[in-house]
Amino acid sequence: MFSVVLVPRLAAEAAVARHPIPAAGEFWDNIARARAEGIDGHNPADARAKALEAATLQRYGVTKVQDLPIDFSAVSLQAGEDYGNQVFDRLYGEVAHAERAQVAHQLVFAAASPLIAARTLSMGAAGSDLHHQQRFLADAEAHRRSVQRALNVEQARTGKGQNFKNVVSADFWQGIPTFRYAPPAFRTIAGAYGAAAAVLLVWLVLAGAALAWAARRAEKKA
Amino acid sequence: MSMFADEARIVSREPVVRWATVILVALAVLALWNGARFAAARNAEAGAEVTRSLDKRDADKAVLRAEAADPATFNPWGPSEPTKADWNAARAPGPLAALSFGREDIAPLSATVSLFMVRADNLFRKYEFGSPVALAAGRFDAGFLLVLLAPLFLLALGYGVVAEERESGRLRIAAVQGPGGGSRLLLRLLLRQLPVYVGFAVIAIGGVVMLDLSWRLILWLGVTLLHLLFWSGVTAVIASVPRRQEVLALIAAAVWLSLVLLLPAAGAALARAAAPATSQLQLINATRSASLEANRRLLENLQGYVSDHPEMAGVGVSNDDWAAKLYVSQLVIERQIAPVLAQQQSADRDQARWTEALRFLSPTSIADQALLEIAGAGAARQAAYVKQATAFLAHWRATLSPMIFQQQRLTPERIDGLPRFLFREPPVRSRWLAVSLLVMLVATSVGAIAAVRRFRSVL
Repeated sequence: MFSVVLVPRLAAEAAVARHPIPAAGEFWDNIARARAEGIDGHNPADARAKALEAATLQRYGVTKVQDLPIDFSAVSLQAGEDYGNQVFDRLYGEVAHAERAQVAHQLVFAAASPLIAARTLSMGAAGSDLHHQQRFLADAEAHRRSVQRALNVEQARTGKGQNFKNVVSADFWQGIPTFRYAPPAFRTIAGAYGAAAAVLLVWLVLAGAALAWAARRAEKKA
Repeated sequence: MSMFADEARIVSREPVVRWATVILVALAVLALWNGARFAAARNAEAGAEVTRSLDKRDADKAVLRAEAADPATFNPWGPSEPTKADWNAARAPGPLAALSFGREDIAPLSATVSLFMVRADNLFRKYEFGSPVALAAGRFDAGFLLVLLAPLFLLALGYGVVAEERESGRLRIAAVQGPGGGSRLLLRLLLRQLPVYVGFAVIAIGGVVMLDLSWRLILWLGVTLLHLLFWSGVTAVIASVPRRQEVLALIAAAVWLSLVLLLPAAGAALARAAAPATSQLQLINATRSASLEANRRLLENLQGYVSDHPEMAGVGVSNDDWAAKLYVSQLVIERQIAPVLAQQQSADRDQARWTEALRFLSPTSIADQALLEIAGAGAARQAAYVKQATAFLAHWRATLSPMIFQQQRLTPERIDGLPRFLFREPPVRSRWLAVSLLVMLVATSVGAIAAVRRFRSVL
């Protein structure tokens, strides 16, 4: 009753309380704030845009945007992407860190509930746990960013004066690799399951010892 | 009275009863504390969403006043642009969410309503992250304690009442002493189960203190009490089976496993199989195709859309008006994906209907769904919120979109007059609830009658 039904829920509550994940409203407000005012709150979007324009003009040795040999709007879009990526990496990274900390924290309760250790190992073996999900998200996001960057580079190269009416060729899309997700090899993430395996092993040893004791007792009675 | 006093004395000396009382009181207090914490956090989140909207309006008004004082600082894409205005349409958690969390920890409780690329399909983007461990294990609330765990305590405390008397030989002596032995054992069983009812009383008192006495709370407590009585009856029936204690323990565990875990899980699986949810990818792909089409048609020529909508003619629509183009493109996308969205919503409704119909597989499912409905933590209240927020989006559009087409700008006074969302608590589905209660009442009565009849003949 306790180790299968009650303790896993209490473990989850303890993990949630110890490592809270921000509410959706707070999270998106932080994202919007960081994008508008800068990650540190001292780097507003307007100032970033002006700095980017000045740096680009200096790089190409011209004084006006119209004189640039590239489409500046694409440079600006990519700079926005790069900055957004920093914001997302930091804030989503905090959520991902809290999620991993919750999973680790509940393992403390595996001493009272082998179910927690068994579930951790079985989900890991099935490739359906948090480690695998976070790896998939990271790979998919990296792919999205590479496609986005390639598009902006192409726009900067070919889009000057086109007002975004230019289209890319089929060759361009053929050069974009298809996303293929490969689950991480077990040996690369095996360390994440060491504690759960150790706890389950202790439980197995204890269960074996209890079984041996019960068998001896039954023999004596017989 | 003498029999009651005797039995009460016997039961009160049993260490297992004392320990069960301590554990259940502790768990009840823990569930109440955790529930109060959870509800307070959700209330704070909902409140923070409204505060953010109010703060944004104050900040926008300050900018507009500064721009009025110094026109050189005017920003055409600043707070005066109607597309930039928004409001967080937030709702408070269910009235009894502190007792039954339901899906409150993952269901969105706020939607940012604005003209900027907000449509019916993406209005509820603020899904809570949830917790990977809580999603896997479930939450610890008073509902869990009384609906899932308490039956296990009732069974564990009472299954062996008759068998232990039989195995010790005392049952034969009682039979020789004459009638009344069965009633005495039934009384003992009920007294042994008292720790569970003490836990229930702690939650009832705590609920009244925390949430004030309301008809919802009375109903919630009534359903849980009925559910506990049903399980007391089931325990009595199992205890009256003429088998050894070990066999009865296995029967009790199997009954609990079937009624509390397997049948509800089977019901949920059947509902998913009978009415599968539509693929989210289908909606995403439809939205993407619609966006491309809308961009092609509208961003090139807004007049093309206006010619199909005479109500917009003569309001000064300019083909260079980016905000108007963006707004209309969202309407076109929404119209194009409407069939896919309707199909998805219909599938969700079908699945909910199946889930509700299959609750009759187990009294625990009936109790669980009834408690969520009463607590306001179930699917019906969330559906009501979605409906109200979607209606608010329509109202917002009707209020602000004419300003876009007429190229009007927001002023501090106009910002003060913009709509604000207020969630109206939907009524509990009384007919649905009455059917659930009736079935539970019948099941409890049948259990009680069966228990009394079987205990009369245990000697």
